[in-house]
Amino acid sequence: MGCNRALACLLLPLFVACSGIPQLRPAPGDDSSAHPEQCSAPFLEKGWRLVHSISGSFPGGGGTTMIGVTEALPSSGRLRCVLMSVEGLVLCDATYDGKLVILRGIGPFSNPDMVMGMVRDIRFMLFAPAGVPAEIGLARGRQTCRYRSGGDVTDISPAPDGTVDVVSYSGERKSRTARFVRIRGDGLPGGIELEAHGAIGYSLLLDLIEAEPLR
Amino acid sequence: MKHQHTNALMRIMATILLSLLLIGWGDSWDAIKKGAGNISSVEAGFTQIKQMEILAKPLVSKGKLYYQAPGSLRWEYSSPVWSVLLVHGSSISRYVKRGDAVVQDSAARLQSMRVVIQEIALWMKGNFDTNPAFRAELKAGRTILLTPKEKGMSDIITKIELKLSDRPGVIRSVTIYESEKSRTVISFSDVKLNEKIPEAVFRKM
Repeated sequence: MGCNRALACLLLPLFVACSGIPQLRPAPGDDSSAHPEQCSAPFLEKGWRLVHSISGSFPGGGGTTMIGVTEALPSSGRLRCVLMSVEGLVLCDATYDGKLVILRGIGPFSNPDMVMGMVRDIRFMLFAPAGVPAEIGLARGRQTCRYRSGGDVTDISPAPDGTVDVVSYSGERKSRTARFVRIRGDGLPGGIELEAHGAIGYSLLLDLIEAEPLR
Repeated sequence: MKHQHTNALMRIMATILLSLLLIGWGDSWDAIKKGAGNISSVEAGFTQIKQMEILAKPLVSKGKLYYQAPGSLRWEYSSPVWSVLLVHGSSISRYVKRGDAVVQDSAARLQSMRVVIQEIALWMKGNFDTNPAFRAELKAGRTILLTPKEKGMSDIITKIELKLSDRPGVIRSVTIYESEKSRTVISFSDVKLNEKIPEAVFRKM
């Protein structure tokens, strides 16, 4: 019994951490929660070319900073992304248009799985989830729109301070969290904080350096 | 494979840094070696212009370079992303900006920077055309052309072009070609040679 209790105590933080998808509750006395525009997020609405500084930190304390250039067309989902060192050396140049093509990949970026993971992160941060919200309500006290696609769930929750949180779940597990900060006049976020959860977690901080609409 | 790529990247870094430091010049390798041997310190501003197909307009970075023989280096970007590489004695560190905070860059990557420093020390003795990674040609118009000797390297960089300035002892620009459509041009300004640089420049952020 004591052993079971000790085990339960040890595992409790794990269960809390992996507690899965929060339940949505209706906002009391307020049917405005049924309006999805109240949980809009600064996803791209047209084609943009974006230049970001990207600071990454990894388990164990390592980290580095690079520069990312992304050409993104939300209408088609087409992407081209380039990752280069601060010194200007291009480490990765890839396109995705339903199929990944690596134009240049150095070191780990020659691995299609690695680059596809990067493309998935970019799509998560730039493109709105497909379709309309399956549910709208309050989660952890915040207006939340929930999108469902297969077994995956994406929650969008704006905060009163103007930031917007987007959380994705794969099955019942939290997969990615993105926080959009410093929303600019053109609707683009000046900064994005991305956190990848799971066994090999990492976090990225993206600061927008330049943005140009695609013609 | 990953190790090979790291070595290739480090050799490229070394060659780029060397290019910045190869400031003695003349009409022959002997004259260049002789000039290089007289350089004890370098201080210069630089502008780095990245041109590539995906960019409608070039990405411009600015910074400052300090070098003190035999092996101290400060390579600092001020914009668009602040970062600084510090080399002094056996200590190598790099700091980058993360949000509003300054953090130390990954230590594992920095260890390979030792390769850079060792090669720079060799080259600063004037042994430039013995670079194991690149074939060096002295061209007309005060231009030095570096081409990779091995395919592993040429997959990353096709050539490096150094333009010497009219002022003896100063490089005007370095152009690093990654492909037909992607290149980086680094131009130098306010170059000061053989002036005393405080040690703290190489030790402190």
